[in-house]
Amino acid sequence: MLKEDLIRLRYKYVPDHIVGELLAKRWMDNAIPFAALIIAIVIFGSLVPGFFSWGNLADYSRQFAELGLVVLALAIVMLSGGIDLSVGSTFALGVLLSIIGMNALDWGFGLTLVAVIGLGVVLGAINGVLIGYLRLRAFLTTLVTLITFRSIYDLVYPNFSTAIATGMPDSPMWDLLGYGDLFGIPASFYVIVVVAAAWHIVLSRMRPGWRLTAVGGARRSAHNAGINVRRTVCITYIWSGVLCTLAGFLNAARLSTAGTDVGIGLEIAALTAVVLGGNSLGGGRGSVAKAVIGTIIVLILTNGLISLSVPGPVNSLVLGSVLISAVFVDVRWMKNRHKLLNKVYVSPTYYKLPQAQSTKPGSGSPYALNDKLKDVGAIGLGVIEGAEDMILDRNDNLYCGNRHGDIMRWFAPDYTRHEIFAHVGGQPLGFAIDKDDNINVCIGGMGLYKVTQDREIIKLSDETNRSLFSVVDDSRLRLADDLDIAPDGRIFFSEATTRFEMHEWPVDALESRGNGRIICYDPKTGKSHTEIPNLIFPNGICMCHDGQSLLFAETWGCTVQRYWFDGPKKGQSEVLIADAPGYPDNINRASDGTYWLAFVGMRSPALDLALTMPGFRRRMARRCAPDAWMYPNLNTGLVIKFNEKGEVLESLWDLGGQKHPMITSIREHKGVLYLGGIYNNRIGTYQIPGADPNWCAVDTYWGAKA
Amino acid sequence: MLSAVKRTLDSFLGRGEAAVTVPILDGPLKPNQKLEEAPRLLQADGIDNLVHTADGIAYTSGRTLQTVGGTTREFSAEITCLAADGAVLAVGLDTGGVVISGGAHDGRTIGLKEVPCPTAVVFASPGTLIVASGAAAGKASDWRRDLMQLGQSGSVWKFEIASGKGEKLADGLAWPSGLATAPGGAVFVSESWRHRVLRLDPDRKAPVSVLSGLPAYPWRIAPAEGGGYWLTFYSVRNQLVDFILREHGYRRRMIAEVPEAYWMAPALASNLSFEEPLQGSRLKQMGQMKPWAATLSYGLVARCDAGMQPGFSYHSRADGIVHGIASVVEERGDLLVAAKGPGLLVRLEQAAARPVQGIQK
Repeated sequence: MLKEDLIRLRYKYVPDHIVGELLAKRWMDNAIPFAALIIAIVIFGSLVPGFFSWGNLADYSRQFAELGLVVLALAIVMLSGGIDLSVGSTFALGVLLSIIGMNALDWGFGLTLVAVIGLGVVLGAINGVLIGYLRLRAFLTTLVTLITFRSIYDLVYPNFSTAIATGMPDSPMWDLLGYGDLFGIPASFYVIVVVAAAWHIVLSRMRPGWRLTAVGGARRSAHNAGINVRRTVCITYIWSGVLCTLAGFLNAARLSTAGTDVGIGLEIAALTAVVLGGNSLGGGRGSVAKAVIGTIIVLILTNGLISLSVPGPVNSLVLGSVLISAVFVDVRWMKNRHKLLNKVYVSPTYYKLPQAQSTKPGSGSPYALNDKLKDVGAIGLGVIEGAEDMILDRNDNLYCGNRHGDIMRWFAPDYTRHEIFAHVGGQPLGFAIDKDDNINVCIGGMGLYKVTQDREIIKLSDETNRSLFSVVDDSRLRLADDLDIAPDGRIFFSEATTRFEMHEWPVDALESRGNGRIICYDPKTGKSHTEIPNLIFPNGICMCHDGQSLLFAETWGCTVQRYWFDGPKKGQSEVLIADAPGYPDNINRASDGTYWLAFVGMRSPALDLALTMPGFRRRMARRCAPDAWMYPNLNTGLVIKFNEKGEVLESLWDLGGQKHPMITSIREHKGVLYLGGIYNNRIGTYQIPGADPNWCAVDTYWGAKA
Repeated sequence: MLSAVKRTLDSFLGRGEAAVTVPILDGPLKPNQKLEEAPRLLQADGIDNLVHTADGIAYTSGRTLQTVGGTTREFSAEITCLAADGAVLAVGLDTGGVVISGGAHDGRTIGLKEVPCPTAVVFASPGTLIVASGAAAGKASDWRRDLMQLGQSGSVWKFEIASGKGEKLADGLAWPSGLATAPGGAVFVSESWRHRVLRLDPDRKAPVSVLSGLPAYPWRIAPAEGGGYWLTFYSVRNQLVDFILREHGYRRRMIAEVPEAYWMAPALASNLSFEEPLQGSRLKQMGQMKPWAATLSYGLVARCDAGMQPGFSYHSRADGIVHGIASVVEERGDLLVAAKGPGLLVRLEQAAARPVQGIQK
């Protein structure tokens, strides 16, 4: 038992699930490039003398401004799924025009800058139109423009070489940009900071950036979503041209000259930086931060090697090998990240259930097996698909959800006719009727909604406050499950799990961690807050008759608890049922002042044992197919009746699960008990012997209507 | 040293021996529902051991031996296996040993010491018996426990009925549970827990594996009139069970703490209680169990050629009940099949007349 205590403590204090959540973060892509950056700084910092000196860093930051702009240009194009090999030649033409403008033709700073940017637009547009609108292959096209632009450079350059060498521009701005400082930091560095920040905001926070990423991620899907793919692609090349010529402008200001070899091989350095930073070659995945990291690594690498007097060809060789290995890591990471995530995401924890009450017939247990649900009637057989919950209004009409995202209305008195009351788009789970006869509903994957009798669908809440130390943003509701309404209109609803989606909710049972919570929505403020965190799949919620407390069921925890949200015992909770033989689901009021409780499934000893062996479950989740995972037995349902003391008064079984393999909800109305199941193809009806034939649950909440 | 490191690494990464790969039912074992759809002739608890005897076709049900004609005989313990040679019967009992009934040695018990767990018996000649002992200790009816305890203490014996003298043909087997004689004095043995069929040759070299990597646990082998054999299976393999067989911590605690009926282990019948463990694919959707769901019990009998290579097969899938096929016998071109799980005898019409062509290796 000591060993088991150790296991319990280990799983209590080591949060394994964070590994999976970290891997699911988008910025995890930056982890490897960032590590490479640190390694590069450490290695060259210790090898190169004076690496951390102010002069060296200033020199780096000037080069960073130039290379950074070119890398950014290429990164933007690659993010949209293309490639631009002509960045080096465009950069060279930018340098040439800047120098000609400043040295030879005396245009002055402003006009030259405008001319250079204009040149960038023209050069980029050539690529953009050819690739975006005429649909030529990006690789070949930019290879051709790489050569053409270079040829133009080689043709123009000799005509101006003398004027370039002799001209002396008289522009303080030009000098400032070239070798001046602002507050001790090179002026050109400010340019890259502003440009990078602007692009970061565009790419991560603005629609044009999202569209660009979408085009790179899946061209056809982007087109189907209404994005003008051709224009988006064209614009990325124009921006590429502008950023490259701007980099050329900075370069010209720094060196005040242009040689025949300017910009040669720049595309390889830029490509290395882009890929090294973790931007995907295939498009759709990348960021400014990645481009920046890649640029710094390449700068450190090339300058460091030069400082160490490594010959030029060797330098290129090193750069090439780094590019190849970066591409290799990129491909492997892309391919294996999801596999890794799939393997480590499910992270079970230790949970020991108390000994369950017996279900043996004749054992005297309130849960003893019987066959009372054998002859239940059916509503909507084969038409209803997955009614997790249902509710009846004052006019006896029955509302239920289905897996197609509708709320169906079945008409009294015989419930053979129905209509789609409202299409809400997600699977409706728990229902509650408020004092104005609106249907309040929890919708899996969407949140808390209200549908008025005029069929207007109103979103009440889809978020709560983010918890303090969560890795993933848990403010968004993933699986709002059941709700009930307090006398003052506040809505308390459960979110079963924050770690799994609607369709994979049974997987949460493998973890059996407190992944869920109960949330309170206040109609006065329109805001929601988490009322009780860390519950093990909180599910059914039902108001007690005192108006100050509610009952809730923890499905995988196998408990039913009472929680006071008002009054003298505010904030306290009390366990009513702790030794149930099954997994409790929805709770609703019964006509005699007690409560009905549905069990979605029953406990099995093999799984109860596995719950105390988290390592076993973790390995099972990794090694076995999800189809083969050990699940709770959700093929046998049960309904019980219990009171506020936690005494179980009656149980109703459907042995064999022929009609109701799973019961997720029950609702008493005028002497009949209605049975719903999230994987069932019907709603069951059970005549309750001796029940009040006029009792309507809505009246017990809001009083009978006159 | 190196292999220990490799094993530790494998068990951490789930590779090599720790990989849980279960072959699928495909080729000659491609699923159908023929067993489920077959007409059901009669119901008898634990029906097993279909054999042609002098009084017609016999079957066993617990301690009783019955013929389809209606005669009944009772034995001192549950009958685990049965063979007939004319009027002479060899009856394996759950308490150990094989009792001879009829003929010159009527009433003699053979191999009480050597065969504590008789799982299969066959006459090699009128005076010699070949008997399989599933394990060195325990009962034949405790086959689930032997599987989950990784049993590999089974043996195959040859006995002279007259002298009662036994000769061990093979041992160290993981639950030998089916026997059939082959031309030339060879014997086919199904080794259930290693999912294969062996051939023991009379020159007594090591057993030869003739059919291996099966997706199910082979059980009895019955000769077919047209040449070749019928091979029945306890159940199909299940990825989770194969995984648990490698998870010794959970496996031991399950054996010790969980009642046997609710183990995560193959069974002759399942879905009998909500306390049985459930697997993801078994969740009923819209009131239906999917036939391809992972299952603990399954009905499967395969027709093999003379070289023990399967040609075709009859199934009852996860959503059916004709599971735990223990024994088959041919009757005028039909095949009678005893499903021990639900205790049903079903008839596959014209199955025995169907020609077989085993898959080529």
